[in-house]
Amino acid sequence: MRGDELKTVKKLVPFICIAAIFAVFLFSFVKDMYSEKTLYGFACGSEVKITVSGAKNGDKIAQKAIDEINRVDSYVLSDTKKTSAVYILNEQNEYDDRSGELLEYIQKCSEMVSKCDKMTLLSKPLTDIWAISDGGRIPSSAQLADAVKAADMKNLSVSGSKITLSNGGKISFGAFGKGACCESAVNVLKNGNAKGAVVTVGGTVGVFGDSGKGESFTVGVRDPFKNAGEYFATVDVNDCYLSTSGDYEKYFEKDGKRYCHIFDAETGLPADNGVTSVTVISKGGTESDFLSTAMFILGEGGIDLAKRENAEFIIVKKDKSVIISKSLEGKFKLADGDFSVSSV
Amino acid sequence: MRRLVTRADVIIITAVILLAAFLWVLNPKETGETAVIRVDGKEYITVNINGELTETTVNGVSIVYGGGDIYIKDSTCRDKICVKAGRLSKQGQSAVCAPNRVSVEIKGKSKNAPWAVTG
Repeated sequence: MRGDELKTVKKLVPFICIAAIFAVFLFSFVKDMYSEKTLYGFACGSEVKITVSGAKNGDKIAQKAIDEINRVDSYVLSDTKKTSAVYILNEQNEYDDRSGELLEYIQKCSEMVSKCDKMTLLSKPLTDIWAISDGGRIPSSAQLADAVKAADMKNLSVSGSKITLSNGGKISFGAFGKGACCESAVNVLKNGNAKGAVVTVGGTVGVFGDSGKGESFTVGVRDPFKNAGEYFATVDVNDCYLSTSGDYEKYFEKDGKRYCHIFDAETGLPADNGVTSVTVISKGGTESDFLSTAMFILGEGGIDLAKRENAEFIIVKKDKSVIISKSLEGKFKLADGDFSVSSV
Repeated sequence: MRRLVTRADVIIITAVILLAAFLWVLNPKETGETAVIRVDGKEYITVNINGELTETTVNGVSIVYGGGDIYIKDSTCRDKICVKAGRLSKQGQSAVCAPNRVSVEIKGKSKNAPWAVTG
């Protein structure tokens, strides 16, 4: 190399270095803009967690989804927030739903409830007398009989946009709300062009699209015998919702007996049939939430219902035996050897 | 003939390496030593769980950390689900007090950790 050529190259060195540094910054900036984003919030009485992958400014889209969950919970479905349509309906026994949003949820959920005699959308009288979130108390048989009568679906009627409650019937979306909110968040994310996302609202998880790590998302199934966040198995799924109902979190104990927060609408008593948790995987979030609750009440008897609705399930019994749907074979993996698995 | 590498070159190259190292340090791998306390879904504080025992109260939730774990000792909520969650020490473990909108989570995700847990 001749002397003057070498000089020219050497003059360029600082510029090349600066360009390289600039490129690194630009790359990390763009990468960060498109990287996986996770946002948290609170709604439906539980934590909300949304992870968006492969979208530009995923955090903004995730925030929109959290805002939508808050809106649906606070203004439509909540039975504890004074701003919600359900709260007003329960107070006044009458509600003119001009927007039609609550009506749509009522119709959808009433149709689901009609598939299971032990479920009701008017479950608030039952949750009120058992007061699990207040520490729990055992009601008298007269209180129980009254609550069962009040929880009967015939106390709910709709005429045009007018919704009417009678005989003490009060709506609670406890068995549907988290699933419904999860579904509405997923729709916001899809409309926001997220390529893939995971939405957790309490016990319900919704997944869709590209995980960036293969075809499916691995979702853990809570270990009912261990602390929150610990899972005994995983399932590889995509484009679906998973809901779990169990007796290991919301319950009280008296004289050595556990009373959980899910009630049989026919008897008014907490579900108790050897099952400690039921996970349902289905195409809709409201549906998976409903089915996991119904199957928790029905126990193994609920398998027929899940099959009719084309939903997959994981039933965990108190003796640590697990029943899964045949179609989950290969996708379901035990993470803890203490459990024994059979499929039907 | 002049030397191939001048003093200026050495300075520039050193500066680039130092900058890269600095950026690397700024983005440490999460090892399960820190926990994040969130209020209303927003980060409130990040704490080291291996330090001295410390108690802090946020929104009516009293949280104890140090000595290798973190737990919710007490809360003004009625159901105490957050207290029942027990001691957290592994990556991804969490305790949530929904009534007080407070959550505690050990930072980091192990390689094979699931995306979410239903239950």
